[in-house]
Amino acid sequence: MLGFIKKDLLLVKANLKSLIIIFFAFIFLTINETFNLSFVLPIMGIMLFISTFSYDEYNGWNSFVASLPNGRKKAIQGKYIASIILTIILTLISVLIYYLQVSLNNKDIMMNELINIILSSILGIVIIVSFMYPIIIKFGSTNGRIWMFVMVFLIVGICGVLSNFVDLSFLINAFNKIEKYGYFLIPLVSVIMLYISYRVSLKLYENKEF
Amino acid sequence: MNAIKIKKLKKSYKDFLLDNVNINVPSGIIVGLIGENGAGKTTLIKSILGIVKSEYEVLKIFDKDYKINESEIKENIGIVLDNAFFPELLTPNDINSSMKNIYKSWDENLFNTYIRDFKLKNNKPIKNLSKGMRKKLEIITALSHHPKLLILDEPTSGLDPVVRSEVLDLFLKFVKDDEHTILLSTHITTDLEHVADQIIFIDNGKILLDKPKDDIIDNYGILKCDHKNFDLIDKNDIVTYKKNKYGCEVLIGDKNKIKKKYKDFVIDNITLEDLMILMIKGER
Repeated sequence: MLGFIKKDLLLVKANLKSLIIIFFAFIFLTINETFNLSFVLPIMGIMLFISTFSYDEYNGWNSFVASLPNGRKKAIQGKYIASIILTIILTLISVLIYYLQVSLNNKDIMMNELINIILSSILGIVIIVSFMYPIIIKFGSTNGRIWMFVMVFLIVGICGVLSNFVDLSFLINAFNKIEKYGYFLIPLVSVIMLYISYRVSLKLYENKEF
Repeated sequence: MNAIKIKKLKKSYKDFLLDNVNINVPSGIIVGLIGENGAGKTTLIKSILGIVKSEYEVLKIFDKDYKINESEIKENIGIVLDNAFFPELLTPNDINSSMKNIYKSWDENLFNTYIRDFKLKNNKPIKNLSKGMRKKLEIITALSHHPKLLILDEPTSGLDPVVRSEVLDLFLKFVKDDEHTILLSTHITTDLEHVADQIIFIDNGKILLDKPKDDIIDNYGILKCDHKNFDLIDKNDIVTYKKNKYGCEVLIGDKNKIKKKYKDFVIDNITLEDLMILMIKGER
Protein backbone atom coordinates (compact mmCIF):
# COMPACT_ATOMS: atom_id res chain seq x y z
CA MET A 1 0.00 0.00 0.00
CA LEU A 2 2.88 2.36 0.79
CA GLY A 3 3.88 2.34 -2.89
CA PHE A 4 0.43 3.58 -3.91
CA ILE A 5 0.41 6.26 -1.17
CA LYS A 6 3.81 7.45 -2.41
CA LYS A 7 2.64 7.51 -6.02
CA ASP A 8 -0.38 9.69 -5.15
CA LEU A 9 1.56 12.07 -2.90
CA LEU A 10 4.35 12.35 -5.49
CA LEU A 11 1.69 13.23 -8.04
CA VAL A 12 0.38 15.96 -5.73
CA LYS A 13 3.97 17.13 -5.24
CA ALA A 14 4.42 17.33 -9.02
CA ASN A 15 1.31 19.52 -9.07
CA LEU A 16 2.40 21.56 -6.07
CA LYS A 17 2.92 24.86 -7.91
CA SER A 18 -0.80 25.63 -7.86
CA LEU A 19 -1.06 24.69 -4.17
CA ILE A 20 1.87 26.94 -3.26
CA ILE A 21 0.16 29.92 -4.93
CA ILE A 22 -3.05 29.18 -2.99
CA PHE A 23 -1.01 28.68 0.19
CA PHE A 24 0.67 32.09 -0.03
CA ALA A 25 -2.58 33.81 -1.01
CA PHE A 26 -4.22 32.37 2.11
CA ILE A 27 -1.33 33.35 4.38
CA PHE A 28 -1.48 36.90 3.04
CA LEU A 29 -5.27 37.25 3.27
CA THR A 30 -5.50 35.61 6.70
CA ILE A 31 -2.64 37.56 8.28
CA ASN A 32 -4.08 40.78 6.84
CA GLU A 33 -7.36 39.69 8.44
CA THR A 34 -9.09 40.20 5.09
CA PHE A 35 -10.55 36.70 5.42
CA ASN A 36 -10.33 34.09 8.07
CA LEU A 37 -10.69 31.12 5.82
CA SER A 38 -7.92 28.89 7.13
CA PHE A 39 -10.15 25.85 6.91
CA VAL A 40 -10.55 26.37 3.15
CA LEU A 41 -6.87 25.54 2.51
CA PRO A 42 -7.20 21.82 3.40
CA ILE A 43 -10.36 21.61 1.28
CA MET A 44 -8.56 23.21 -1.69
CA GLY A 45 -5.73 20.74 -1.10
CA ILE A 46 -8.06 17.77 -1.20
CA MET A 47 -9.64 19.09 -4.40
CA LEU A 48 -6.11 19.10 -5.83
CA PHE A 49 -5.70 15.52 -4.65
CA ILE A 50 -8.90 14.56 -6.44
CA SER A 51 -7.19 15.56 -9.69
CA THR A 52 -4.98 12.46 -9.23
CA PHE A 53 -8.04 10.44 -10.31
CA SER A 54 -8.04 12.31 -13.64
CA TYR A 55 -4.33 11.70 -14.16
CA ASP A 56 -4.82 8.02 -13.31
CA GLU A 57 -7.63 7.72 -15.81
CA TYR A 58 -5.87 9.67 -18.57
CA ASN A 59 -2.71 7.56 -18.35
CA GLY A 60 -4.41 4.16 -18.03
CA TRP A 61 -3.03 3.73 -14.51
CA ASN A 62 -6.10 1.72 -13.45
CA SER A 63 -5.34 -1.08 -15.95
CA PHE A 64 -1.78 -1.10 -14.70
CA VAL A 65 -2.97 -1.28 -11.08
CA ALA A 66 -5.26 -4.22 -11.82
CA SER A 67 -2.27 -6.26 -13.00
CA LEU A 68 -0.15 -5.55 -9.89
CA PRO A 69 -0.13 -7.87 -6.86
CA ASN A 70 -3.21 -7.02 -4.76
CA GLY A 71 -3.25 -3.83 -6.82
CA ARG A 72 -6.94 -2.97 -6.73
CA LYS A 73 -7.26 -3.20 -2.94
CA LYS A 74 -3.98 -1.47 -2.19
CA ALA A 75 -4.64 1.34 -4.67
CA ILE A 76 -7.95 2.20 -2.97
CA GLN A 77 -6.40 1.95 0.48
CA GLY A 78 -3.63 4.19 -0.84
CA LYS A 79 -6.09 6.85 -2.03
CA TYR A 80 -7.83 7.04 1.36
CA ILE A 81 -4.66 6.95 3.45
CA ALA A 82 -2.93 9.53 1.22
CA SER A 83 -6.01 11.76 1.59
CA ILE A 84 -5.84 11.44 5.38
CA ILE A 85 -2.10 12.22 5.37
CA LEU A 86 -2.69 15.25 3.17
CA THR A 87 -5.55 16.39 5.42
CA ILE A 88 -3.33 16.20 8.49
CA ILE A 89 -0.52 18.14 6.78
CA LEU A 90 -2.84 20.84 5.45
CA THR A 91 -4.75 21.15 8.73
CA LEU A 92 -1.44 21.65 10.53
CA ILE A 93 -0.55 24.34 8.00
CA SER A 94 -3.93 25.99 8.64
CA VAL A 95 -3.23 25.98 12.36
CA LEU A 96 0.17 27.50 11.65
CA ILE A 97 -1.43 30.24 9.57
CA TYR A 98 -3.88 30.91 12.40
CA TYR A 99 -0.98 31.09 14.85
CA LEU A 100 0.86 33.54 12.57
CA GLN A 101 -2.25 35.66 12.19
CA VAL A 102 -2.79 35.82 15.95
CA SER A 103 0.87 36.49 16.74
CA LEU A 104 1.40 39.17 14.09
CA ASN A 105 -1.77 40.99 15.10
CA ASN A 106 -0.88 40.81 18.82
CA LYS A 107 -3.95 38.82 19.76
CA ASP A 108 -4.47 35.87 22.09
CA ILE A 109 -4.92 32.36 20.80
CA MET A 110 -8.59 31.41 21.12
CA MET A 111 -8.79 27.69 21.78
CA ASN A 112 -12.39 27.54 20.47
CA GLU A 113 -11.40 29.19 17.22
CA LEU A 114 -8.45 26.83 16.80
CA ILE A 115 -10.58 23.74 17.38
CA ASN A 116 -13.19 25.10 14.99
CA ILE A 117 -10.54 25.45 12.27
CA ILE A 118 -9.43 21.86 12.81
CA LEU A 119 -12.91 20.35 13.00
CA SER A 120 -14.33 22.29 10.07
CA SER A 121 -11.33 21.26 7.96
CA ILE A 122 -11.79 17.62 8.87
CA LEU A 123 -15.55 17.63 8.36
CA GLY A 124 -15.30 19.43 5.00
CA ILE A 125 -12.72 17.01 3.70
CA VAL A 126 -14.46 13.90 5.01
CA ILE A 127 -17.74 14.91 3.32
CA ILE A 128 -15.95 15.58 0.01
CA VAL A 129 -13.88 12.38 0.13
CA SER A 130 -16.72 10.14 1.32
CA PHE A 131 -19.08 11.17 -1.43
CA MET A 132 -16.75 11.97 -4.29
CA TYR A 133 -14.41 8.97 -4.28
CA PRO A 134 -17.06 6.27 -4.80
CA ILE A 135 -18.82 8.44 -7.40
CA ILE A 136 -15.56 9.06 -9.32
CA ILE A 137 -14.67 5.36 -9.16
CA LYS A 138 -18.10 4.38 -10.42
CA PHE A 139 -18.56 6.99 -13.15
CA GLY A 140 -15.01 8.15 -13.93
CA SER A 141 -13.52 11.52 -13.03
CA THR A 142 -15.32 13.60 -15.67
CA ASN A 143 -18.76 12.00 -15.38
CA GLY A 144 -18.26 11.67 -11.61
CA ARG A 145 -18.12 15.44 -11.21
CA ILE A 146 -21.31 15.80 -13.22
CA TRP A 147 -23.02 13.19 -11.03
CA MET A 148 -21.77 14.99 -7.93
CA PHE A 149 -23.36 18.25 -9.11
CA VAL A 150 -26.57 16.41 -9.99
CA MET A 151 -26.67 14.91 -6.49
CA VAL A 152 -26.02 18.24 -4.76
CA PHE A 153 -28.72 19.96 -6.85
CA LEU A 154 -31.13 17.14 -6.14
CA ILE A 155 -30.55 17.32 -2.38
CA VAL A 156 -30.87 21.12 -2.34
CA GLY A 157 -33.89 20.93 -4.66
CA ILE A 158 -35.65 18.28 -2.57
CA CYS A 159 -34.98 20.28 0.62
CA GLY A 160 -36.29 23.42 -1.11
CA VAL A 161 -39.48 21.70 -2.26
CA LEU A 162 -39.96 19.99 1.13
CA SER A 163 -39.56 23.27 3.00
CA ASN A 164 -42.73 24.50 1.27
CA PHE A 165 -44.75 21.68 2.79
CA VAL A 166 -42.91 20.67 5.95
CA ASP A 167 -41.37 22.79 8.68
CA LEU A 168 -37.68 21.85 8.51
CA SER A 169 -36.69 24.03 11.45
CA PHE A 170 -36.63 20.89 13.63
CA LEU A 171 -33.51 19.85 11.69
CA ILE A 172 -31.77 23.12 12.52
CA ASN A 173 -32.83 22.73 16.16
CA ALA A 174 -31.48 19.20 16.17
CA PHE A 175 -28.13 20.42 14.81
CA ASN A 176 -28.03 23.18 17.42
CA LYS A 177 -28.69 20.64 20.17
CA ILE A 178 -25.88 18.32 19.13
CA GLU A 179 -23.47 21.18 18.40
CA LYS A 180 -22.07 21.09 21.92
CA TYR A 181 -21.09 17.44 21.35
CA GLY A 182 -19.35 18.39 18.09
CA TYR A 183 -15.82 17.87 19.45
CA PHE A 184 -16.71 14.26 20.03
CA LEU A 185 -19.26 13.69 17.27
CA ILE A 186 -17.36 15.12 14.29
CA PRO A 187 -14.33 12.80 14.60
CA LEU A 188 -16.63 9.81 15.24
CA VAL A 189 -18.93 10.56 12.30
CA SER A 190 -15.87 11.23 10.12
CA VAL A 191 -14.36 7.83 10.86
CA ILE A 192 -17.67 6.06 10.19
CA MET A 193 -18.26 7.98 6.94
CA LEU A 194 -14.73 7.34 5.69
CA TYR A 195 -14.96 3.63 6.50
CA ILE A 196 -18.30 3.19 4.71
CA SER A 197 -17.02 5.20 1.75
CA TYR A 198 -13.83 3.08 1.60
CA ARG A 199 -15.82 -0.18 1.60
CA VAL A 200 -18.10 1.09 -1.18
CA SER A 201 -15.15 2.36 -3.25
CA LEU A 202 -13.28 -0.92 -2.83
CA LYS A 203 -16.31 -2.97 -3.90
CA LEU A 204 -16.81 -0.75 -6.96
CA TYR A 205 -13.13 -0.77 -7.93
CA GLU A 206 -12.77 -4.53 -7.51
CA ASN A 207 -15.67 -5.16 -9.86
CA LYS A 208 -14.62 -2.58 -12.44
CA GLU A 209 -13.15 -3.54 -15.80
CA PHE A 210 -10.54 -1.36 -17.45
CA MET B 1 6.62 -26.42 -16.21
CA ASN B 2 3.88 -24.51 -17.99
CA ALA B 3 4.08 -20.75 -17.75
CA ILE B 4 0.47 -20.30 -18.88
CA LYS B 5 -2.29 -22.85 -19.25
CA ILE B 6 -5.75 -21.73 -20.31
CA LYS B 7 -8.78 -23.88 -21.05
CA LYS B 8 -12.07 -22.60 -22.42
CA LEU B 9 -11.58 -18.94 -21.60
CA LYS B 10 -14.53 -16.77 -22.60
CA LYS B 11 -15.03 -13.04 -22.50
CA SER B 12 -18.00 -11.42 -24.13
CA TYR B 13 -18.77 -7.81 -24.92
CA LYS B 14 -21.86 -6.47 -26.66
CA ASP B 15 -20.25 -6.82 -30.07
CA PHE B 16 -17.32 -9.15 -29.46
CA LEU B 17 -16.70 -12.63 -28.11
CA LEU B 18 -13.39 -14.13 -27.09
CA ASP B 19 -14.52 -17.66 -27.63
CA ASN B 20 -13.27 -20.79 -25.84
CA VAL B 21 -9.61 -19.92 -25.92
CA ASN B 22 -7.21 -22.75 -25.12
CA ILE B 23 -3.53 -21.96 -24.74
CA ASN B 24 -0.55 -23.84 -23.44
CA VAL B 25 2.70 -21.92 -23.05
CA PRO B 26 5.69 -23.92 -21.76
CA SER B 27 8.35 -22.12 -19.73
CA GLY B 28 11.51 -20.79 -21.31
CA ILE B 29 10.14 -19.58 -24.64
CA ILE B 30 8.91 -16.43 -26.36
CA VAL B 31 5.35 -16.67 -27.61
CA GLY B 32 4.12 -14.18 -30.18
CA LEU B 33 0.47 -13.25 -30.19
CA ILE B 34 -0.56 -11.91 -33.58
CA GLY B 35 -3.79 -10.77 -35.16
CA GLU B 36 -5.34 -7.67 -36.67
CA ASN B 37 -6.71 -4.75 -34.64
CA GLY B 38 -9.74 -5.81 -32.62
CA ALA B 39 -8.98 -9.52 -33.02
CA GLY B 40 -8.89 -10.04 -29.26
CA LYS B 41 -5.16 -9.91 -28.39
CA THR B 42 -5.49 -7.19 -25.75
CA THR B 43 -8.71 -8.71 -24.39
CA LEU B 44 -6.90 -12.02 -23.98
CA ILE B 45 -3.99 -10.34 -22.17
CA LYS B 46 -6.38 -8.36 -19.97
CA SER B 47 -8.30 -11.53 -19.16
CA ILE B 48 -5.12 -13.33 -18.12
CA LEU B 49 -4.13 -10.43 -15.88
CA GLY B 50 -7.59 -9.96 -14.35
CA ILE B 51 -7.99 -6.46 -15.74
CA VAL B 52 -11.29 -7.63 -17.22
CA LYS B 53 -13.45 -10.38 -15.74
CA SER B 54 -13.66 -13.51 -17.84
CA GLU B 55 -14.97 -17.03 -17.46
CA TYR B 56 -12.70 -20.03 -17.80
CA GLU B 57 -12.44 -23.68 -16.98
CA VAL B 58 -8.71 -23.56 -16.24
CA LEU B 59 -6.38 -20.61 -15.80
CA LYS B 60 -3.03 -21.62 -14.40
CA ILE B 61 0.14 -19.57 -14.31
CA PHE B 62 3.36 -21.36 -13.30
CA ASP B 63 1.10 -24.43 -12.81
CA LYS B 64 -0.73 -22.63 -10.00
CA ASP B 65 -4.44 -21.90 -9.99
CA TYR B 66 -4.83 -18.22 -10.78
CA LYS B 67 -7.88 -17.57 -8.60
CA ILE B 68 -6.28 -19.03 -5.49
CA ASN B 69 -2.76 -17.66 -5.97
CA GLU B 70 -3.43 -14.38 -7.82
CA SER B 71 -1.28 -12.12 -5.67
CA GLU B 72 1.69 -14.54 -5.53
CA ILE B 73 1.46 -15.10 -9.30
CA LYS B 74 1.40 -11.36 -10.03
CA GLU B 75 4.57 -10.88 -7.98
CA ASN B 76 6.28 -12.92 -10.70
CA ILE B 77 4.78 -11.25 -13.76
CA GLY B 78 6.22 -8.20 -15.48
CA ILE B 79 3.83 -6.24 -17.67
CA VAL B 80 3.85 -3.72 -20.47
CA LEU B 81 0.36 -2.71 -21.51
CA ASP B 82 -0.76 -0.57 -24.40
CA ASN B 83 -1.47 2.94 -23.04
CA ALA B 84 -1.40 1.99 -19.39
CA PHE B 85 1.36 3.18 -17.09
CA PHE B 86 2.19 5.64 -14.33
CA PRO B 87 0.72 9.17 -14.59
CA GLU B 88 2.93 11.22 -16.88
CA LEU B 89 3.81 13.91 -14.34
CA LEU B 90 5.94 11.36 -12.50
CA THR B 91 9.63 10.69 -13.14
CA PRO B 92 11.63 7.41 -13.24
CA ASN B 93 12.78 8.31 -9.70
CA ASP B 94 9.14 8.46 -8.57
CA ILE B 95 8.41 5.14 -10.26
CA ASN B 96 11.34 3.53 -8.48
CA SER B 97 10.26 5.02 -5.19
CA SER B 98 6.70 3.66 -5.55
CA MET B 99 7.56 0.30 -7.06
CA LYS B 100 9.95 -0.69 -4.31
CA ASN B 101 6.94 -0.74 -2.00
CA ILE B 102 4.67 -2.50 -4.50
CA TYR B 103 6.79 -5.52 -5.55
CA LYS B 104 8.55 -7.48 -2.81
CA SER B 105 11.44 -8.30 -5.13
CA TRP B 106 11.86 -4.85 -6.71
CA ASP B 107 15.56 -4.36 -7.52
CA GLU B 108 16.46 -0.69 -7.29
CA ASN B 109 20.03 -1.27 -8.52
CA LEU B 110 18.81 -3.20 -11.56
CA PHE B 111 16.28 -0.45 -12.37
CA ASN B 112 18.99 2.23 -12.17
CA THR B 113 21.37 0.12 -14.27
CA TYR B 114 18.72 -0.21 -16.99
CA ILE B 115 18.02 3.54 -16.76
CA ARG B 116 21.72 4.20 -17.37
CA ASP B 117 22.04 1.57 -20.12
CA PHE B 118 19.01 2.91 -21.99
CA LYS B 119 20.21 6.50 -21.53
CA LEU B 120 17.11 7.67 -19.66
CA LYS B 121 17.15 10.45 -17.09
CA ASN B 122 15.98 9.72 -13.57
CA ASN B 123 14.40 13.09 -12.94
CA LYS B 124 12.72 13.73 -16.27
CA PRO B 125 8.90 13.51 -16.12
CA ILE B 126 7.35 10.84 -18.35
CA LYS B 127 5.45 13.54 -20.26
CA ASN B 128 8.77 14.97 -21.50
CA LEU B 129 9.99 11.61 -22.84
CA SER B 130 9.67 10.64 -26.49
CA LYS B 131 7.32 7.76 -27.31
CA GLY B 132 10.28 5.41 -27.71
CA MET B 133 11.84 6.50 -24.41
CA ARG B 134 8.50 6.00 -22.65
CA LYS B 135 8.23 2.47 -23.99
CA LYS B 136 11.77 1.75 -22.85
CA LEU B 137 10.87 2.98 -19.36
CA GLU B 138 7.81 0.72 -19.33
CA ILE B 139 9.94 -2.29 -20.34
CA ILE B 140 12.58 -1.45 -17.72
CA THR B 141 9.85 -1.18 -15.08
CA ALA B 142 8.47 -4.57 -16.13
CA LEU B 143 11.90 -6.20 -15.79
CA SER B 144 13.11 -4.69 -12.53
CA HIS B 145 11.44 -7.04 -10.06
CA HIS B 146 12.98 -10.21 -11.56
CA PRO B 147 9.74 -11.58 -13.03
CA LYS B 148 9.50 -15.12 -14.37
CA LEU B 149 6.89 -14.21 -16.96
CA LEU B 150 6.67 -11.09 -19.09
CA ILE B 151 3.32 -10.23 -20.62
CA LEU B 152 3.80 -7.49 -23.16
CA ASP B 153 1.16 -5.79 -25.25
CA GLU B 154 2.75 -4.01 -28.23
CA PRO B 155 6.08 -3.43 -26.43
CA THR B 156 8.03 -2.44 -29.53
CA SER B 157 5.52 -0.11 -31.17
CA GLY B 158 6.91 3.38 -31.61
CA LEU B 159 10.53 2.29 -31.24
CA ASP B 160 13.08 2.97 -33.95
CA PRO B 161 14.87 -0.08 -35.46
CA VAL B 162 18.01 0.39 -33.34
CA VAL B 163 16.13 0.56 -30.05
CA ARG B 164 13.83 -2.25 -31.16
CA SER B 165 16.82 -4.44 -31.74
CA GLU B 166 18.21 -3.50 -28.28
CA VAL B 167 14.87 -4.39 -26.70
CA LEU B 168 14.62 -7.68 -28.59
CA ASP B 169 18.14 -8.57 -27.43
CA LEU B 170 16.99 -7.87 -23.89
CA PHE B 171 14.06 -10.26 -24.37
CA LEU B 172 16.35 -12.97 -25.76
CA LYS B 173 18.69 -12.52 -22.81
CA PHE B 174 15.69 -12.77 -20.47
CA VAL B 175 14.56 -16.15 -21.83
CA LYS B 176 18.05 -17.65 -21.67
CA ASP B 177 16.96 -18.79 -18.22
CA ASP B 178 14.62 -21.75 -18.78
CA GLU B 179 12.30 -20.51 -16.06
CA HIS B 180 11.65 -17.25 -17.92
CA THR B 181 8.86 -16.87 -20.46
CA ILE B 182 7.50 -14.05 -22.61
CA LEU B 183 4.02 -13.65 -24.06
CA LEU B 184 4.23 -10.80 -26.51
CA SER B 185 1.54 -9.30 -28.71
CA THR B 186 2.66 -7.21 -31.64
CA HIS B 187 1.82 -5.92 -35.08
CA ILE B 188 5.49 -5.91 -36.04
CA THR B 189 5.65 -9.51 -37.16
CA THR B 190 9.28 -9.23 -38.27
CA ASP B 191 10.20 -8.86 -34.58
CA LEU B 192 8.59 -12.23 -33.93
CA GLU B 193 10.46 -13.81 -36.84
CA HIS B 194 13.65 -12.85 -34.98
CA VAL B 195 12.77 -13.88 -31.47
CA ALA B 196 9.59 -15.96 -31.13
CA ASP B 197 9.52 -19.71 -30.56
CA GLN B 198 5.77 -20.12 -30.79
CA ILE B 199 3.09 -18.17 -32.64
CA ILE B 200 -0.51 -17.82 -31.58
CA PHE B 201 -2.69 -16.29 -34.24
CA ILE B 202 -5.99 -14.89 -33.07
CA ASP B 203 -8.78 -13.62 -35.29
CA ASN B 204 -12.23 -12.41 -34.35
CA GLY B 205 -11.89 -13.83 -30.85
CA LYS B 206 -10.82 -17.30 -31.94
CA ILE B 207 -7.41 -18.94 -32.00
CA LEU B 208 -6.78 -19.85 -35.64
CA LEU B 209 -3.25 -21.11 -35.25
CA ASP B 210 -1.02 -22.11 -32.34
CA LYS B 211 2.24 -23.61 -33.57
CA PRO B 212 6.01 -23.42 -33.17
CA LYS B 213 7.33 -20.61 -35.38
CA ASP B 214 9.80 -22.88 -37.16
CA ASP B 215 6.99 -25.28 -38.10
CA ILE B 216 5.09 -22.38 -39.66
CA ILE B 217 8.09 -21.04 -41.58
CA ASP B 218 9.18 -24.56 -42.69
CA ASN B 219 5.76 -25.90 -43.68
CA TYR B 220 3.57 -23.03 -44.79
CA GLY B 221 4.13 -21.40 -48.15
CA ILE B 222 2.51 -19.31 -50.86
CA LEU B 223 1.76 -20.97 -54.13
CA LYS B 224 1.49 -18.45 -56.96
CA CYS B 225 -0.35 -19.24 -60.18
CA ASP B 226 -2.67 -17.78 -62.81
CA HIS B 227 -6.46 -18.18 -62.71
CA LYS B 228 -6.42 -21.10 -65.17
CA ASN B 229 -3.97 -23.15 -63.10
CA PHE B 230 -5.78 -22.36 -59.86
CA ASP B 231 -8.55 -24.79 -60.89
CA LEU B 232 -5.96 -27.58 -61.14
CA ILE B 233 -5.16 -27.39 -57.41
CA ASP B 234 -6.85 -29.92 -55.16
CA LYS B 235 -9.10 -27.92 -52.78
CA ASN B 236 -7.84 -30.03 -49.85
CA ASP B 237 -4.34 -28.59 -50.37
CA ILE B 238 -5.59 -25.01 -49.99
CA VAL B 239 -5.70 -23.32 -46.59
CA THR B 240 -6.88 -19.98 -48.02
CA TYR B 241 -6.48 -18.14 -51.32
CA LYS B 242 -6.58 -14.63 -52.69
CA LYS B 243 -7.33 -13.77 -56.29
CA ASN B 244 -6.48 -10.55 -58.09
CA LYS B 245 -6.50 -9.57 -61.75
CA TYR B 246 -2.93 -10.80 -62.27
CA GLY B 247 -3.25 -14.22 -60.65
CA CYS B 248 -3.78 -16.13 -57.42
CA GLU B 249 -1.93 -16.49 -54.14
CA VAL B 250 -2.67 -19.73 -52.35
CA LEU B 251 -1.73 -20.36 -48.75
CA ILE B 252 -0.60 -23.95 -48.35
CA GLY B 253 0.08 -25.85 -45.13
CA ASP B 254 2.59 -28.46 -46.32
CA LYS B 255 5.11 -26.84 -48.61
CA ASN B 256 7.25 -29.92 -49.24
CA LYS B 257 4.33 -32.18 -50.13
CA ILE B 258 2.86 -29.53 -52.46
CA LYS B 259 6.23 -28.92 -54.14
CA LYS B 260 6.33 -32.60 -55.13
CA LYS B 261 2.68 -32.67 -56.18
CA TYR B 262 2.65 -29.51 -58.32
CA LYS B 263 6.12 -29.40 -59.88
CA ASP B 264 5.48 -26.52 -62.30
CA PHE B 265 4.08 -24.10 -59.74
CA VAL B 266 6.06 -21.37 -57.97
CA ILE B 267 6.04 -21.78 -54.22
CA ASP B 268 7.45 -18.95 -52.08
CA ASN B 269 8.52 -19.08 -48.46
CA ILE B 270 6.13 -17.40 -46.12
CA THR B 271 6.58 -14.55 -43.67
CA LEU B 272 4.34 -14.11 -40.63
CA GLU B 273 2.91 -11.00 -42.27
CA ASP B 274 1.93 -12.95 -45.41
CA LEU B 275 0.43 -15.64 -43.23
CA MET B 276 -1.60 -13.10 -41.27
CA ILE B 277 -2.90 -11.36 -44.40
CA LEU B 278 -3.81 -14.58 -46.19
CA MET B 279 -5.46 -16.09 -43.12
CA ILE B 280 -7.57 -12.98 -42.55
CA LYS B 281 -8.24 -11.71 -46.05
CA GLY B 282 -8.07 -14.99 -47.95
CA GLU B 283 -11.10 -17.01 -49.00
CA ARG B 284 -11.60 -20.55 -47.80
